[in-house]
Amino acid sequence: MSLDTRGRSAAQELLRSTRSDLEARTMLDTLHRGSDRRTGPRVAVVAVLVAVVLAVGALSWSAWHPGGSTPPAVTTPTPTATSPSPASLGLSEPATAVPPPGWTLVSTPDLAVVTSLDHYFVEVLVSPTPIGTSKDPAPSPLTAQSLAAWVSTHSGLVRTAVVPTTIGGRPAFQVDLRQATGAPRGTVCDPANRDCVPLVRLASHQLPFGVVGGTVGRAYMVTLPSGRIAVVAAGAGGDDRIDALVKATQPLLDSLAFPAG
Amino acid sequence: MTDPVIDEPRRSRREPGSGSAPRLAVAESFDAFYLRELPSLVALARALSGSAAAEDLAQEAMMAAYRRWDEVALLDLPAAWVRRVCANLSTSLIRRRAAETRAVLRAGGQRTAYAELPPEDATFWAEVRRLPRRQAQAISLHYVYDMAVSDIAVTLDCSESTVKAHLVRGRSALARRLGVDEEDPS
Repeated sequence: MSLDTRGRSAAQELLRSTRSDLEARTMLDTLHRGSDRRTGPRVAVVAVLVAVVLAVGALSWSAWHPGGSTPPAVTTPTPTATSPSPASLGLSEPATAVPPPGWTLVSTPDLAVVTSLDHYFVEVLVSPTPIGTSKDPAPSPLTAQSLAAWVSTHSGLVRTAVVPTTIGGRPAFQVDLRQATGAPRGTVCDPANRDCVPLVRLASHQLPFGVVGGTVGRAYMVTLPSGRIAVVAAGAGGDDRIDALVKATQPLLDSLAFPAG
Repeated sequence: MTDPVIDEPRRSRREPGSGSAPRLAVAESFDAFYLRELPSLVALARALSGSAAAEDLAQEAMMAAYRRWDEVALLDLPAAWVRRVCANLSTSLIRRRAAETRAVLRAGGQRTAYAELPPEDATFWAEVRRLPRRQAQAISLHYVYDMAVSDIAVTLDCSESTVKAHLVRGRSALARRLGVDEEDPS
């Protein structure tokens, strides 16, 4: 069988299964309900209201459904024309931040992802489970410090120092992340099968979280007031300059707060 | 603030007096455009990103078109613009992660999933996704839309020679990894 035969067959099957499962009319209605045509500055004002309503809604949902089903998606267009105030990250743990203008938030109870319009992001992962291997057995007992030490010496990553610091008003351990040259790579972290070194999993996400080739990251391991561990990870898709990453993400990281419940 | 993944639609170059015959700009309704284009757009997103976030990525591309519809509708090929946006979104690590998060949320912690592809088709697309970004986009457009080089060039907004280079390299890598011949034996 030639590549073209294989490719055409794969495309036909892809189109067939997509068409049979897709609810296009419903998606169109959803788009109409959730969209605003370009309206200039008005968008920013509306965004403030939407952000507040969604943030409060997510918080309420979490409070009423502890451990139950997840709340509706919180996608918060950050207003650009108003004074910034801390917004809930929509996690199951109390956590707030002030996303810089243009950054958006999506969250589940155990994951908040705040992304910039270019390629920077900050993720907060609550109660991550390390992915241990025979070469890199998972740390035990699992603490913020042992997790940081495990990551800093992980065979798939460039070895780096663990730096005591604070994040969100809590003591934390900072580690820089970059794939080691010749690291054993998987392709399981990413829907697009990019090479990566998987590090941790979350209960609500099938895909593990790890370090993708050609990128750098900075992670902070922190013990939350509730005693649960969280990882705050700053990263950049397709960028390997840690100084640029730090400059882009520092305002958001500085605004993080993990208050006691 | 501009979005580097969603480029601004450029005005049609076929202006009266530019050498080609003037044409009436009869804009299609967005709804008709949406319903016609969405299935293949989701398929493109599935090819490039896997299934988890495909609908969200296609919807984000359509949302971008909707917000700019006054301009997009007047392009020579509105579909090419929205396909380019979708292809760029689908190969953006950050956008995929955000879209996947939304998809997981909507499904109550479970991934939304289409019927599984036959193993050999799933393997084909998995290998496409392992290609460098531009090669994966060119290959996906070629097979999902049965596009010729010139159409891919218009869609990706690059030269035909660039597309040819991406296709040659991508096809070669795919054939090697899949253990098949590039061409049918004649």
